[in-house]
Amino acid sequence: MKTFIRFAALGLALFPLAATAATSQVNYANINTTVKDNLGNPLTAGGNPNGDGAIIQIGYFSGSTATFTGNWIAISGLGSANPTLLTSVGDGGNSSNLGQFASGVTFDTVLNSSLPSGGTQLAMRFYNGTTISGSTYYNTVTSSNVNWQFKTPSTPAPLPAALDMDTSTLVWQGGSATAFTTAILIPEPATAMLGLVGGLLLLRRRRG
Amino acid sequence: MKAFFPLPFLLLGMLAPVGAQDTATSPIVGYSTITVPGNGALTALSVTFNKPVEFASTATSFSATGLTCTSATWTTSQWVGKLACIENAAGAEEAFLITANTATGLTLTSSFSLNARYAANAKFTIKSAHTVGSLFGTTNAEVVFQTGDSTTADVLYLWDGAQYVSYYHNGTIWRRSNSLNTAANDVVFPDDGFFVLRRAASSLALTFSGEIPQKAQSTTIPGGAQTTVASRFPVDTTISQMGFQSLTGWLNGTSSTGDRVYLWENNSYTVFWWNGTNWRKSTSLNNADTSVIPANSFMFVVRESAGAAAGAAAVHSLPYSIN
Repeated sequence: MKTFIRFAALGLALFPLAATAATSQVNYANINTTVKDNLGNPLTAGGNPNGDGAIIQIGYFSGSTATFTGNWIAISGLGSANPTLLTSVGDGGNSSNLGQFASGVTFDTVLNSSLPSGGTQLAMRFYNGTTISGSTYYNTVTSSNVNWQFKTPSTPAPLPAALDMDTSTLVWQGGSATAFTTAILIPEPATAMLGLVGGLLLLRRRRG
Repeated sequence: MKAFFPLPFLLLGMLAPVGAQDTATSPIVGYSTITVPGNGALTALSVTFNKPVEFASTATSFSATGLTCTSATWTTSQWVGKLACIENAAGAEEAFLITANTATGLTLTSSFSLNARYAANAKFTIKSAHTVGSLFGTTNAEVVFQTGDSTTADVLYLWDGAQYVSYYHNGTIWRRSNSLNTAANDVVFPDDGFFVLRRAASSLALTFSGEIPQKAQSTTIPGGAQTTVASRFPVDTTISQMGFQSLTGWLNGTSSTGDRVYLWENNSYTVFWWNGTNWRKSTSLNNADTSVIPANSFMFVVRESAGAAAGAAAVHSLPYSIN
């Protein structure tokens, strides 16, 4: 039985740590339900290695992750600020685990960038492809569950955050009707540009 | 972390050490060498070997904070700072720090009422405790780690139940993050685990030796808390063999709702949870019942079950046979 009388002076500040990299881990799991594409097909799990299935990005919004406002800042997965930290469907399993995953990713304050501050609510974005350029649809999910909050990196590492889709109350960027589905169309660059030009023209016309 | 343990165990002596009163034990000793990588690597360790038994007997009664052994003839305070290892009804032993003793009584530090767990006639032994100094050296010539200040020395991190307390050797004494005094005599309990931050570039081979546990081990894991649990044995075991799922009040669930076990390996945590039928883990979609808990490692156990008893005891079965 451990006792802590040796720590009777608790409350005094801990010694500062050296410039050793601090880390924070985020686990992500979806075991009981299948994430599908907009056509109802389960997202590909790739092969046996982690990171080669349909893209998952872990990230947060610059405004509010809870309401999906501001810019999406991806910190793991292809197309993120840290593209070597691959996160994808099928991680922790094999090619038969379509639409499922159970794995973790560790963020390092020296090696990785765009990490949020401790307590920031995280989200996961799913793509219907294994490359960003080859994807046409996505969706983003988050939860107000405390386990979805990023932990401040430290040495030793804090216990991981847990993006657990099996039991958390989930909120989907596309609305509840799009749960577990990549239902949001990714605007093609040309389409996006047309929309932007159209908006500018409309604005100019109103001012005129 | 790589650990090995020589099997069969090296036998040294078959008679009980001095002081054994009612029972004799045959110590079986061995050693493990663990390589701690350098360059800022973090390694999770525990010490599973014990110091020799200095006294063994059977209690005659327990109070909330101590035991009485009417056949004893101890000198007052002779056992202060040592460990009383008490056997529960399942034959599993757990160590408690002795803070005072009379001729027939031991006062122990415990977070729960001892007489609520132990039968009046429970067996117990007394042995010296490992300390920071006894494990890693006390003087500059002895200490195995890189010495220096808090930003340059190798560091030990022990979880005190609420936060990490860090230790380093400054070239003269062991310092602790919350004390100005030497920390060389701080006890490292058999169920304690700790991180080693190896700042030096070179790896370091740490060799621990002593008596191997010959009985099942017990760890108190209260509800609503984060507790360190050593792997308890100098051989690999499995998450199922650790027996957490049999803890009274263990909360089945998922990676975020159930009671959970966090094992540090390969520079990240693997999280285990019991879904009511099998162990699952954060790095796999498969059954994790036989996942290895490495020798001389440690885990965090987080109990979401806040209502679980303060004295809830996990029993870790002996993963080898004693012939």
